[in-house]
Amino acid sequence: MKLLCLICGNYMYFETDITTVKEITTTGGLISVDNALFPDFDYTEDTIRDNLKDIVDYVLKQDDSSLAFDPETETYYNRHISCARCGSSKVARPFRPKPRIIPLDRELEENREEFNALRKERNDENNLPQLWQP
Amino acid sequence: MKITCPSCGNHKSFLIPLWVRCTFKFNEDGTLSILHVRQLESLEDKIVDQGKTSFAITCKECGGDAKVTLNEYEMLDQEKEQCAALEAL
Repeated sequence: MKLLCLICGNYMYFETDITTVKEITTTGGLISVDNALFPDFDYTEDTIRDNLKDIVDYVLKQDDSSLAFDPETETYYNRHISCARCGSSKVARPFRPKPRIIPLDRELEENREEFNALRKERNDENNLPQLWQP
Repeated sequence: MKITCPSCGNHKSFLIPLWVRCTFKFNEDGTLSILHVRQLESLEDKIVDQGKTSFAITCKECGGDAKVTLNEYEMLDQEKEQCAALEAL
């Protein structure tokens, strides 16, 4: 579960507004609109997929800054993503308590031997025997 | 209506940016699937507003701003009217 609608509990279907690019082709006085095709890729599809991924990644990473305060209802709403089921903008990352982590000093102490082995490996690599001398 | 690129002379292919509303879902493996894409803007309005907004139609070949002529016979009509007025005088 990455996002949660606080109104209906939906955690799968969401909506967002993004920009894309279409191609206008004029032939014989007629104008047609289609996907912007280049020799090796579809620019329209790529922009939709990339922009959607960008906005979702931004909301997941910057959860606080994607929320805005509504003074009328005195609640927070998401500025970018809304729920596709109920239409509410009260969409946020579900609260997860942080896992208990061991202190950094103890973690360094536990991994010291592994680090020394790694460092030794690098020293050996830098001091390879010289097989040929001019 | 005529769309041309003043920079390179292209009059066939142009790119126009559009806002769309995208409905998507989160898959079990964390990837996204797009369910529906709905256009939010009117293409006609955007073409008519070319030159008035910063989101302009651009040339597909060179990327320059395109020029939209809504009535390409307007100048011709004006010239005819001027000729007729001169002849009348």
